[in-house]
Amino acid sequence: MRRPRALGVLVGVAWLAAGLAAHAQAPTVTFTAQAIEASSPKTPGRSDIDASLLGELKATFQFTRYRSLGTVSGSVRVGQMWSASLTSAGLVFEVTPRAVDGGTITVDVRLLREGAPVVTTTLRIAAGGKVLVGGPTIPTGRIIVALTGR
Amino acid sequence: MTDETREARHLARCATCREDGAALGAALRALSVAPLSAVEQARIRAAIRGELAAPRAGWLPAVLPWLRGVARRRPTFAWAAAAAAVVTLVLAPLHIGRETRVFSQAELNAQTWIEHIDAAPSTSVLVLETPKEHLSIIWVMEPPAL
Repeated sequence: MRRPRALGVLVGVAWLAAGLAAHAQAPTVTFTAQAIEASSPKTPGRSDIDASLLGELKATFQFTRYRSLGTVSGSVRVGQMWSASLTSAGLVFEVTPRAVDGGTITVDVRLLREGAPVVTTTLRIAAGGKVLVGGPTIPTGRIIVALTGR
Repeated sequence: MTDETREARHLARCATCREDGAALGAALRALSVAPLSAVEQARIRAAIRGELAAPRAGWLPAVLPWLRGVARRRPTFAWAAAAAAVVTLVLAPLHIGRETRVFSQAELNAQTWIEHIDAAPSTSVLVLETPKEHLSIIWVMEPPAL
């Protein structure tokens, strides 16, 4: 009778350990970064970004054209860095999630030009929320990065 | 083994109990039992009707004897079930009551919190918020290239 009992205890302990381990695993965060070129060309051009984002940018800045340079996304565990190279702009965008608390992601964001940080910030964003980091000059205007994490 | 079988086997072996049983039976048969009065009969019928009308007890009292039987016959199964119950009780509160409301994009954007900003020397930083979607914008103005 002792062996089945011991086996039962082992099964229970294994179950408990598996459950707790699954729960304690570092969460994964998926980031999406859209690079946008903001400019005011002499010949008017067509903006091709999401209409609601375009409306917000037009209400804030005086650029006449907002052009998408591309969108990249990737998933990383908390503590690991994710980076996106904005090749045409000569910039690198680095994102490191520091913590996930419920629906809030604490994240370190760096924008680098030739390896030197232009701006470094720590943000807390809601999962699905968007934040913009922009301003650096590129040959055709200014660059804006729209970052979403979830 | 049923109680009746156990009792019969014991009586077959034990003369004292056989004698006691016979004496008790004789004594009970000798007693005169008065018939129930109409009031007592009515009271008993009312009690039975009340018992029948009463709501049935939950499923637990019905299941408990079966669970006790399983625990006796299959201790491994009983331990595994107990462990599963403990895991469920430990983990369930971590999931219950989590926020499930769906936020609009503007509400999500409005929850952005900027803890700190560092910029390169001679670089200015503006923090803006758009009017409708509450988008936070960190706007960097670098010094002109030499």
